[in-house]
Amino acid sequence: MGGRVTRSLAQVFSHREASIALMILILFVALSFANEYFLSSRNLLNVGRQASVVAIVALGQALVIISRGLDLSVGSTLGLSAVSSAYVASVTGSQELALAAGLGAGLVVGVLNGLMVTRININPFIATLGMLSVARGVALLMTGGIPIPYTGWAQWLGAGRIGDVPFSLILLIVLVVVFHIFATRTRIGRNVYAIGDNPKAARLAGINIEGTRLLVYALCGMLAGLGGIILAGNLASASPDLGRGYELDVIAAVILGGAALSGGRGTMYGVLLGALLMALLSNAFVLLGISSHWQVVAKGLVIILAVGIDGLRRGRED
Amino acid sequence: MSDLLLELRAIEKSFGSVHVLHGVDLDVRRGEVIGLIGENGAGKSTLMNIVAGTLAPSAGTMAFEGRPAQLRSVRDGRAIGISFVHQELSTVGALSIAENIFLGDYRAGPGGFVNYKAIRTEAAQVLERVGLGHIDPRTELGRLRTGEQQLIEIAKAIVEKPRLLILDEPTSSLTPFEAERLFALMKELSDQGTGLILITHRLEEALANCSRIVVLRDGRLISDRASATTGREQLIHDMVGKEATFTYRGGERGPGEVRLKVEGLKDKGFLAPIDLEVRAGEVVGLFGLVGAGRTEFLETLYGARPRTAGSVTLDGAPVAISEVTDAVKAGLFMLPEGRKSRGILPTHSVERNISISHLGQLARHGFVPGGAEREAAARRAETLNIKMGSIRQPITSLSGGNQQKALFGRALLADPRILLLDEPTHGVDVGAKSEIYDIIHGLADQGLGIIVASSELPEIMALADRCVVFAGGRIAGILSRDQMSDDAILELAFSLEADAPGTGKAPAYAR
Repeated sequence: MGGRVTRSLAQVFSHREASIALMILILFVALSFANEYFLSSRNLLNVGRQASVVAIVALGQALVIISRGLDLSVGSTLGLSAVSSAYVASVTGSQELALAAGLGAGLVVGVLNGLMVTRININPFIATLGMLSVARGVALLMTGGIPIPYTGWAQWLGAGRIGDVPFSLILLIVLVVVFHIFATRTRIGRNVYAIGDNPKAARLAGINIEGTRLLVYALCGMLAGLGGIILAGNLASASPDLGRGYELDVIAAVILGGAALSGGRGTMYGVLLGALLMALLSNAFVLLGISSHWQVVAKGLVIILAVGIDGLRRGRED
Repeated sequence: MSDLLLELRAIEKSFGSVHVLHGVDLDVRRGEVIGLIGENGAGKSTLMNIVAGTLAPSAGTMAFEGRPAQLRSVRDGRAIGISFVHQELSTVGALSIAENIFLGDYRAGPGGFVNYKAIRTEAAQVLERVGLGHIDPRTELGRLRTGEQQLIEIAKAIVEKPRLLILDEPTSSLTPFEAERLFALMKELSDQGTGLILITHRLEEALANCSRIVVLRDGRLISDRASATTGREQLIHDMVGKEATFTYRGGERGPGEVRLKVEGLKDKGFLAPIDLEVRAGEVVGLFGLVGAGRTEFLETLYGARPRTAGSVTLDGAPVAISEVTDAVKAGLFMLPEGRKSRGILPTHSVERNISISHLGQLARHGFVPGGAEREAAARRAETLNIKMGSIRQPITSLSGGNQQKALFGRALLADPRILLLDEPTHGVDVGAKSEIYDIIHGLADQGLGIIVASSELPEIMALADRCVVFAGGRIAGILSRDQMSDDAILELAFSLEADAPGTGKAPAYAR
């Protein structure tokens, strides 16, 4: 009997999502004892809001990584989309056009990434590393390096609340559900997993690899664009420097959430958990009054720990 | 000291329940050159891997230079003087030739610094011996042709001055001139007392350069003959044997309408223009030695390799295939060789491995209904008799034969008109093999056109209504069921190779 319980527990923890959920739980319990303010709804909702942009962008990144790709350009795409959106808003005054410009800029970057990877066969790491620089440069050129004030819909997206709940958090939950359904229930979503699991087999099974990969990069770019609008709206200002270094947080959330860089493995709710864990960590450092420099160290350690446990469990592969 | 170098006694080897070597005895004397031949899967490589220390025998003993040798690794084997040059390259393309020849050691002195001067001088000497004296040892290895890289492998082996050198198909990518040079080197080594074992598919090569020829079949040593007193026909007879494990039962199907017609199919330079017809209910066997072009033909037909010319007609209507997706849409489906690398989706369940090519038909507005998917996959798993605990278990937890049956399930769900099978029973045990043969016959009875590419003669004999023999990238001949015999097929398969030894290509079609 005891053996069976141990075994089924072991089964649960063979999913990396479970170890992340456990880490979140431990942190949650520890923090609620350590600081009475932690459990206040205001604080918790704030954690959710902080997690939302990283998590939204990470949903797209997760699809890319599951298909055995990588998008390093998401931070720059986010910045470019934010300034494009703010620029169109300030020139035309139209909120619809501004929103479309932000999402469109992200989409264009994503499609270009996808074309580089699928048509010219550039390694995704290199293609999107190049794009990281190009997109940031274009954002700087568009603004001359000076932030553009940004109000309107974006502000509501980034800082608005429904009741007490931040709108970006609600949007995140909706998107997680939508992308979970997309990834697990649709034909294209399932093909994404198959391609990442064994691209050669997927091709011979008649799956359109190029088309699927292109779509995945396009979605990732568009979600980065959405993230840019939310972030700029929250700050009421679109800086061309917005999202610098964001790609690392986003990739970390995906990997923490149980996706494998080698493709074929990962879930959308795992991404949500990964982003939550990182937001909880930064919240912990604020509440406990520890230097934020330690937070940078801790973030790195958590990533190494989470992936390290998995590596030890799977053993050597070569 | 006796001049006996290697003594193998009653060597047995099993992988799980599969018995691949049955009590093999073999002696090799100093300075002797032994040819080791046999069909694919006869156990040649397994036996040589045991000699070299890569594999441990399940039973039996081995002695080297009169002392018992229990090798636990390749390193052990090399320490006592046994070198094995594999057919697959193990060179590092980004390093220089000299660094490759001294890989891992680099003649490094104390402090670990590579002694470039020493490795260059020594490399230049050994390059001369293998016939590559004109090449600078500082050249990056990746810039050499495959054949030249193969010679570098041999150079790597001979700098260790092995007492027994095993070469696995060393000439498959060499030009005739390079091959001659290699045989001269082998002669030189044998005169110095080195024992050599040459694994080869080319009978002429073995007859001309080996003192003895040993034939393996189904894991047994069948014959051990002096090459001076034997000939091709005798060797082919030894390789094939006479017992057929599986019986052909196609005959009762009448030939139907032509379903697939391939005309002038050509790729970027390996395949000669290929013409082929497959009728409804017909199983066409493609036989050929390794590198004969069977797989290349199937992949080019299927859109997985670029095609430069040729047309494909399916049920009378021309189809344009430039991508695999086009082929699948048109009604072709291929089960590739290499189940692990190109067949299964390793982290997916059995169910999802079966259904993956069927999602398009199942999906409603892009969504895959889970119930319908499970039902479709489960029905196939049941008719194909896949042995498993649950259809949701990972595919990698099944045996090779059951994985292969699951891939058949995938093919059936795709509902093809023409099925292309490349080595459908590779690495599958006998029981599953016979089930797979039944499946193939059953599909032909339903009117599918089937092409089975195989390097195993008994498989072709058990399945094919007609046999197309490939050699050197072109069709060497087509045999009707009445004309099909082991000897006739092998005669054709070896025919072009004898014309153009060493090139691996037939020059006749070059235009």
